[in-house]
Amino acid sequence: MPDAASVDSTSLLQILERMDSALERSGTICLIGASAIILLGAPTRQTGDIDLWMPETDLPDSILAKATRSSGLDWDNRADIVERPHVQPIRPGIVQLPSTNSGIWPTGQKSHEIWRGERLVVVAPPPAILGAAKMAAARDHDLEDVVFLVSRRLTNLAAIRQAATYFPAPAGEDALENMPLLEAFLAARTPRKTENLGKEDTR
Amino acid sequence: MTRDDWVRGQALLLAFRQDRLAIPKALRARQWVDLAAAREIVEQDADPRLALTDPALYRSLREAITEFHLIGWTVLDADALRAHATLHQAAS
Repeated sequence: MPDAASVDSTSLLQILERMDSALERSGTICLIGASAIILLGAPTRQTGDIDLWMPETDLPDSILAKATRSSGLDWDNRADIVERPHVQPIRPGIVQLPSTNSGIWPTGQKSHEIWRGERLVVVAPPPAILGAAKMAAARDHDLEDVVFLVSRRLTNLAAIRQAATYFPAPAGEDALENMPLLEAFLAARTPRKTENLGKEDTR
Repeated sequence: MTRDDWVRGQALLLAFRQDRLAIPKALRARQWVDLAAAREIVEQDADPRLALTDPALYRSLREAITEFHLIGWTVLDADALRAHATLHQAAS
């Protein structure tokens, strides 16, 4: 059971249900970080912040802030110590991801849907992009998250390395520099078909 | 696996049960032998004889092994870890 400042898969789903009910209009939010990993199925992962990647989120801050607060969470809490989970809007800055072109990531994939309510649709970047973002930071939790993605065959290290080349500097370089932390010790794996989720159909 | 390796692998698994980030910490600390041994213990599973001789240890190891599987650390390649450990020992 998570502490009061954290969410796990069960409480995250409850939060999304509440946000869905509280939203004034339909829209899509793009989760990055641990909350995306949790919704991809990490059974024991917890996090205190639900990070929204705003460039791929089509609801304005005002509506999201209202729905978040109505759901009993803080919005945009930048305090060092938080007492309850919060939803954090993230814009390019300290966190960097590659840009999409008409909704297509440089990997050739669209964001994929990981949850849907009545009004709220939750998407996440392709697993390789998530993995590369994790490798740019490469904290202990990040390594664990990448291992989760690879172990479930949602992506593999070669795809993450490729995705890192699309990241702006310095995140891309950081990710590539950190890749050897895992590359030498993880068994080679081929991603399942889910790596193709959202891939543009070129037929 | 030598007795010493087994003890080191077991110690890492028990640390992991207390701190789920013990495995990435061990990777950073280049504890190749400990990691390889822990991976092999997970592969073999806890010896059921421990349930009779040391029930608390058996329970702890089983819990650690379950968590190890759930997080996905079974993607660690024991042979690669062992090879690094050998290289590291030869160099030092």
